[in-house]
Amino acid sequence: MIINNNENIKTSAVYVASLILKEFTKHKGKRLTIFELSAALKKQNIKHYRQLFFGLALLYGTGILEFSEPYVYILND
Amino acid sequence: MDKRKVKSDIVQQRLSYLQMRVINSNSLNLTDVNIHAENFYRDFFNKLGFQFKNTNFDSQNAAHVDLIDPENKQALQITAQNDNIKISEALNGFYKKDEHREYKLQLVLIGKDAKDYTTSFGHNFNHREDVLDIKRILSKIDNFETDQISEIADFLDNEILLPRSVTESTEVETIMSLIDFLSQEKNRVLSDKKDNVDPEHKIYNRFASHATYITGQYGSLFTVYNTAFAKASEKIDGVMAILISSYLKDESDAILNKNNNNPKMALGEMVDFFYNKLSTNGFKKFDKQAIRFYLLEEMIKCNVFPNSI
Repeated sequence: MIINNNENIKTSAVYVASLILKEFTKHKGKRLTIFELSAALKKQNIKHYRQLFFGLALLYGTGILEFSEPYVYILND
Repeated sequence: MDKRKVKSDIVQQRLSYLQMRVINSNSLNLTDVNIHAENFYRDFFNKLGFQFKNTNFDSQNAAHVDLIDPENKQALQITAQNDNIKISEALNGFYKKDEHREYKLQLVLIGKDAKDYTTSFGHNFNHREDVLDIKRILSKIDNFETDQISEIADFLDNEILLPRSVTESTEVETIMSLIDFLSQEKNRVLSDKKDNVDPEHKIYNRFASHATYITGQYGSLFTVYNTAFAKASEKIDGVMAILISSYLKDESDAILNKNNNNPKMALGEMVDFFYNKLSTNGFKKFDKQAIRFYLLEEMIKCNVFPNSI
């Protein structure tokens, strides 16, 4: 189950992951710092680190993202 | 061990806070805090087994000593100055009097830290042991037994009032604490029972004789607690949601069975159960009705009293 029926969709890992990808599209780049991502998500009301973490984990687990401190890279366009 | 850490943290926080207050006030030439510090440190050192008296209350006001303990032949000069001239003056002035010969004078630095002095002070004064700054006091307390640390922590907690941190309203804090409690990952085995999420069936059929009570309660609490619930729920993520759901399903089912399938009684027992759990884990006053609203909200989502298939 990708979204639990008890969680708010707007803070779910899938939704947060989509916001992260949107941020990459907006910046037309393959690389963003974790701080830029965190600041951008804050504006979308994602304020808790675990929500950001699960969004990133989903993208990493599906092979879309890679990390190189403090950057987050997109692997697939 | 947990108690020791909590109490040590309190001691560290309170003394550090007082130290910074002294440093900042003195930088603005405000020294009233130093005057209160004398009596504070009198009571503080008396907790460590001394019997200090403030020499200000003595008719023969001693110029170079603030606290004196005739029983243990100890004397303390409470000061915010850490220079060697101050120390020399205090020692020479104190030992000038014959009646002080048998006393041991120590300096308590309430603001700045002690330096690595190169001056030879004389009078058997070892600056590494006899100049007590906050760091040295903290390291001495750290070696005490837990009960003694606890007693000191309680004293400091009473005496030093920290500025109140910004907090949420009681109802938001109650629901947040409840969410934290419910989503603790203590090797919980997740429930794999299948259930049927159908609040209408549950309230109007399964609990038909209590439907008016349940809807009435929810209706009256909704206006008061819904905003608090929405605010507190912001932090829930997918993993927390699963943990909360699993915990509530198992526990509520057991409590409902215990209460002969009476949701009114079971809900009351659950509210009391969580209220007591939260109260023993912290010191705050929690809002019982907020807990009730949270559980009613979870009842609608079928996490509390789940319908079996």
